[in-house]
Amino acid sequence: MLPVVDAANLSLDRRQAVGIVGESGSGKTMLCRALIGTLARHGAEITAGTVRFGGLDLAAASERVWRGIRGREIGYIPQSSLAGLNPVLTVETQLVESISAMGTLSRRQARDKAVELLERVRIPRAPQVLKARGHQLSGGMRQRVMIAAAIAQSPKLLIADEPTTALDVTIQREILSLITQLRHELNMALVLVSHDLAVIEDVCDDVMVMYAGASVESGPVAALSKTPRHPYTRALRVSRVDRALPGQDLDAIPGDAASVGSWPAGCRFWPRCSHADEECRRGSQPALMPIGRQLSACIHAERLVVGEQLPAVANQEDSARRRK
Amino acid sequence: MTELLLEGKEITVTFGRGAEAFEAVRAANVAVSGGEAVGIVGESGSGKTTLARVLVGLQRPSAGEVRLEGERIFSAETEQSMPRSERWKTQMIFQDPYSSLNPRMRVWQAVAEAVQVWHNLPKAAAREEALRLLQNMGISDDQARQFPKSLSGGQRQRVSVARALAPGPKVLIADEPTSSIDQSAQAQLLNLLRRLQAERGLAIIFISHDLGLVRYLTSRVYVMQTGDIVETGETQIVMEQPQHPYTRLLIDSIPGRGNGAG
Repeated sequence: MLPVVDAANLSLDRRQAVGIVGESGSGKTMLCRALIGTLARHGAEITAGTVRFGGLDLAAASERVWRGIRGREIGYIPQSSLAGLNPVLTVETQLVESISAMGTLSRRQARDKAVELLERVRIPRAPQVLKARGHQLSGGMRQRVMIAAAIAQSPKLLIADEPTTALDVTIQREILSLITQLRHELNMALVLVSHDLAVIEDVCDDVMVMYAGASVESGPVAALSKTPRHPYTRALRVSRVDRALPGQDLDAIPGDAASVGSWPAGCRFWPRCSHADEECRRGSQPALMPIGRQLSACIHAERLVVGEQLPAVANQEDSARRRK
Repeated sequence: MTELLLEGKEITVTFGRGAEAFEAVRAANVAVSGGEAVGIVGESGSGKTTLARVLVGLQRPSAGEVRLEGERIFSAETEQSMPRSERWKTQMIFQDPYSSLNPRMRVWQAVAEAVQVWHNLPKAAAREEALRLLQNMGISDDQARQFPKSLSGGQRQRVSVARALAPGPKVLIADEPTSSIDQSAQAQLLNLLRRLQAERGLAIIFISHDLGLVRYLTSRVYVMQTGDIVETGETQIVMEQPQHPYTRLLIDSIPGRGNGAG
């Protein structure tokens, strides 16, 4: 048995939007699958920890229980869902499938509902698009159809795993803005997974940063952006191109991400961290601890904040605060 | 004023014939001088990759010509492909580092092959040179002995750069080189490209849909939309005072400007 995620913590309130950011292999997608009850389909299982939704404990829920939750209570846009739309079936066939899960609707009612859903995701000429096949639609249109299917049963929570990764920037902007509008219209909570912190900062209230299967920092987007309390979060911010002037080196994180199966002892980020000392290499991955307005898994979180302000960021009051 | 190194003049590429004909690139003029980094920015279908393939000799233009150091080396009229004596001077790296390396060749072999092709060195010397090129790209001898599958996307992309540098080219065309690798690997690769340009005087044509990356790396930019170059100029000026509505749309779409939430 190989652990792929072992110290992930995520929580969100009704109507809240939380982003999960991390590099490939950090466990973002596995965590999503745990939240939607599809780990078994990928040969994985939850061996420790809890998944609570409303009053329900879902960590050990049967497939029968999940069938009542998935789609109905929690909508899901899987990663590379652009490939998820069957190219030869019509949009109608595929949407009606999601709708008929809602119960006894006549063919006509289901079709009307499908048109309504396409209009809801701002697809113009919905009745014509309903007759189109997957391959006839652009990437942006296909993603809108996938979103329509995910929200068909007005779920309380929408989980979107890298929904804009394969899209052009202008389309990415449209899709993110659509997801935000739908969230407000349907009073949905949102979990948005992205490898791009900037995308999450545009859309979410809170963010959880993952590294090598563990949550390393979480809290309000504004707090993490102003005063990151984990060296990895800080590194993600300062290595961005908009942080450097042309002609200046980017502050790149040295080395490569720890891959599944070869996580180092102690804090998993230490081999790439400029703050690491003997203490960081001992024991296991540190737990999240409150500091300021956020949680950090760095045992030197205070030192990091006092010693190093981000460039172009004013010194704020939290910098003086101490870990309790 | 530095002399123009590589130039595409009035490049048009048409795919298909008759009623099916489709112009992927229309009368495009692009140029890069020695040691200069220019960007070509646009979205899928803009023709930026097709234009790059013409410049590197992989795609014959339907009209127009490619000039290198003032000489015409490739055009719609010439029958043969780009001459070998010119081809080494322009090298290209591609978007997907997963499919651009032979999975059954060890990393050093992939680079040594390119060294042998261009320098006609004996095997042992080619291996030495390959390892040296890889080391400059931050790939250790130990990693060089692996197969591509055990390397991360960022490492593979650095291997692609080492391979492209084997013939000692004057121009490197990088087609969306960071779009399928993680952010920390992206910063490493961008630093590498910038150093190659600044320290070795390598000219770089950087193709991307991301104006943020282009702003960081290039001093001039061409903006392409559905086959046309719709705006060109100094990158900083284009970013600050975009003249074309499409350029403005691209700038507004950069994430992290607080506008993704609509």
